[in-house]
This record gives sequence, C-alpha cells and structure tokens, in this order.
Amino acid sequence: MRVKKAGDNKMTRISRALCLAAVGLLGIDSGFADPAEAEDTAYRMARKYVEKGFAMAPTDHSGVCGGGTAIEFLIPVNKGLDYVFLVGTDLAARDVDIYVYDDVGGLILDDRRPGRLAGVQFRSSYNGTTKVYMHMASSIGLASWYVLVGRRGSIKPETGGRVDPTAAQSEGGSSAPGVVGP
Amino acid sequence: MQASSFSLPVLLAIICSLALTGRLSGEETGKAEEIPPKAPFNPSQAQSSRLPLPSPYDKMLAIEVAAKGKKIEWAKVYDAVAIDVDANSSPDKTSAALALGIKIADGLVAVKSQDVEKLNSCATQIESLAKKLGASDEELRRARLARENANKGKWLDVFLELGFLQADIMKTLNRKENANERKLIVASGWMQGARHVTYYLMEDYDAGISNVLREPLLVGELSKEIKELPAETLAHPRVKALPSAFEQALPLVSIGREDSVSRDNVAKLKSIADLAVRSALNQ
Repeated sequence: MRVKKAGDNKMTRISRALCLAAVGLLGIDSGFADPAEAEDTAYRMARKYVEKGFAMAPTDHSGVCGGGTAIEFLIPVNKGLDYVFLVGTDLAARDVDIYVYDDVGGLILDDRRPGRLAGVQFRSSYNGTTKVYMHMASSIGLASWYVLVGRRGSIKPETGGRVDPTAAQSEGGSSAPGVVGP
Repeated sequence: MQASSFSLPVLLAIICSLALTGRLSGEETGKAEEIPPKAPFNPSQAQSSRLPLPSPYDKMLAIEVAAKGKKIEWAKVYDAVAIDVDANSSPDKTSAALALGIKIADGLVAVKSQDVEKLNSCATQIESLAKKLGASDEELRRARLARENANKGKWLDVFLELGFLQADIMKTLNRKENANERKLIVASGWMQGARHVTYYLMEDYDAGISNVLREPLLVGELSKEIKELPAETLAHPRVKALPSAFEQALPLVSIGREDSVSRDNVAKLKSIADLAVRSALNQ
C-alpha cells in the first residue's frame, strides 16, 4: 500500500494549479473576449484623431460578439461637419467592417478591408442620423468591439486630400472622405 | 512513485509550453495564421443596439460652420439654460437618471464654451449623480482627467475624457435591471440639448441654420422607447411629462433635409423642452 506523504499533497495542489493556469492560457486567445483591450485600442485610436483636431468620444456602443454578427446603431450627424467613425477590437477579432448609411437607407461609406480595426471619414451633407453597422466579419471565438466617433467643424471646402496631421488641437483642416487608417 | 513524481512536472511543462505557444499570434511566430473566413454581411439580420446618448455639441459645431466663422458666445447660452442640480434633491434612481442626462448635456455646452469653472461645476454634479446610480470611484476617474485637461486648456482632451466618463457611467446602466434609467438619461439629455440649441436660435434666428434641429429618426426612436417604459416608471411625477413632450417634438424636427424650422416652431420646441426638463427636475 502506497503511503501518502505531506510532500505528495503539496505537489498535487501545485500540479492542479499549474494545470488550471495552462488550460486558462490555452483558452485566452481562442475563446475569450477582452473588452478592456478593445477599449484601450479605441482610446489609442482616439488620441491620434484628437491630434488632428477631431472632438472624439465613445458612442456607448460596445460589446462582445462572435464572427458573422452585425450590430446596428444610430449616430446623429450634422451638416458640414467632418466625421470619423472608428471600430477598435481585441485580439480575438480577426476582421471587422463598418458600414454607414444615411437616414433614407443610402450607403454613405464602408470599410471592408481585412483587419482588426475599421474606420471611415466623411463630411455630412445633412442634419439627422446615420445608421451604422459594425460587422464582425471574422473572429476566433468571441471578440470585443468598441465604437468611437469624432467630429470636426471646418468652414473650408471638402478637398478630397489627406487630413492635415498638423491640425492638432484645432478645429479646422481639410477633409478626406474615405476609409481611414485607424 | 518515482515515475509519477517525474512524469507530472514533465507533463505540466509540455502543457505550459503548448499554452504559451498557442498565445503567440501568427505574426509573432512568422507562420501564416488560420483566419476564419469572412462572414457575409446581411443588414436585415443585424441586431439593434441601444440608442446613443445625444449631444448638443455637434449641433453647436454645425451652427458655427453654418454661421461661417461668426463668433458665438456659448457661455451666454450656458448661463441662460444650464441648471445646477443637487444630487441630494434626487430622492430615487429615476430622479437621479433624469438629472444626470441634463447635466451631461450642460457639460458638453461647458466644453464648447471652453469655461473651466462651468466644466468643473458640471463634472462635480455628474460625479455625485452617477454615484447615486451606483457608479464607483474607479468608474469616475475620468472626471478628474477631464478637470485636469480643462485647467490646461486642452478642450478636445476634455471632450474625449468626458466622453469616456459618460461611457463608463452608461456601462453601469447597461445591466438589464438599469435599462430604464439608461433610457431616461438619454431622453432628458436630448431635451436639455434641445433647450440649449433652441435658446440660441430664438436669440439669433436664421432660417438657414434652423435645420440643425432636424432629427426625425432619433426622436422617433426616443419617443417609442419612452412610451414603452414600465407603467410605474411612466407614472413617476418627474417622468410623466416626457412621453407627450417627445410626441409633440417629433413633428417639429421631422422636416426635409433642406427645409427650415420656422421661428414659431423653434419657440414651440423650446417650450416643450423647457416644460419637460423643469418637470424632470421637479421645478
């Protein structure tokens, strides 16, 4: 008969703890969303656009979803303002897209490029509301997402050029409609 | 026995190394990562999300653009419209939620006014009301950052921190049991924002600018959400003016993209919003 020693018990407890930790580590990337990471990513993206003169803020649209899920939400816009809509995600997200429609169902812009971040920039031609879709096109397990909106007033005409990165802490600069590099 | 004490650490080492390797992304290992295929996008199957927290900030910015650079004294609008709220005068969560929406709208006008004193006052009131709704000190740390940036004159940073503060507060309200309070914050915030904008338009009416009030989709959804609140919430003395306020406001903001809102209708909207906000604060 095998005699249990105090050392054996300790070893078993350590082993169990290590096994649990290892199983946890295996699961992190593949099955668990990380909302804090998505928020941090969004915050870093926001800082970049603040430097370009955009008043950035989260939209209170965030969440956790699996690949293939689309979430629809409303975002008010005003005529003449430049808008940037950004989606930040965590590492479980592999491809996120964004679609922006006007209030009569016409597509304003989308960003369907592959990647964990998505963003569009446009100048609103009307006062009202946009209907925005965040589409988690691909993810490994559940992924977290976080949407930010930036707005900037400018009395300059839409030029179609790139946003002036030197427009830090000012409300001005040119507007470049299209997808943006988050 | 010797065999078992040897094999366990070896087994663990293998599991751990497998786990750590699994955490490295394809980029880090230099190998192509297996990415699940892109799912098709079908908007008709999209899940509807919550309504956004309305902000008068965009309307103020749009008014400045439409006014072609004319200097607008938003601080004067703030002084005429903003209402100081004592959290202790909100006896329950319903009252606190209504007051919070109003102060968030005021806070955004304070940011646009670029007035440190007004911003600090709003931030303090927002903190007190949010605590009443169950927000923790950690969730309110952004209020301190907003104040710090205001003192440095970094107003876009103030806007950003205030936005994250609102999102943090709303997160505490996104739990199912707090869904009604969340709706009330959005509703009272819209009404107070309407008070600020209509006050400005009444002081300096311009038919070309009045279209900033156009918001049929959002106000229609807000009206629907408020009507769907539970009967006991709708019977609350501070809430009862809201359903009819949204019902009356909807046709006034449901105009064409190029239409203007007449001065009379701006005045009507202002009095609807005034009544709803006064009622929400039991004044």
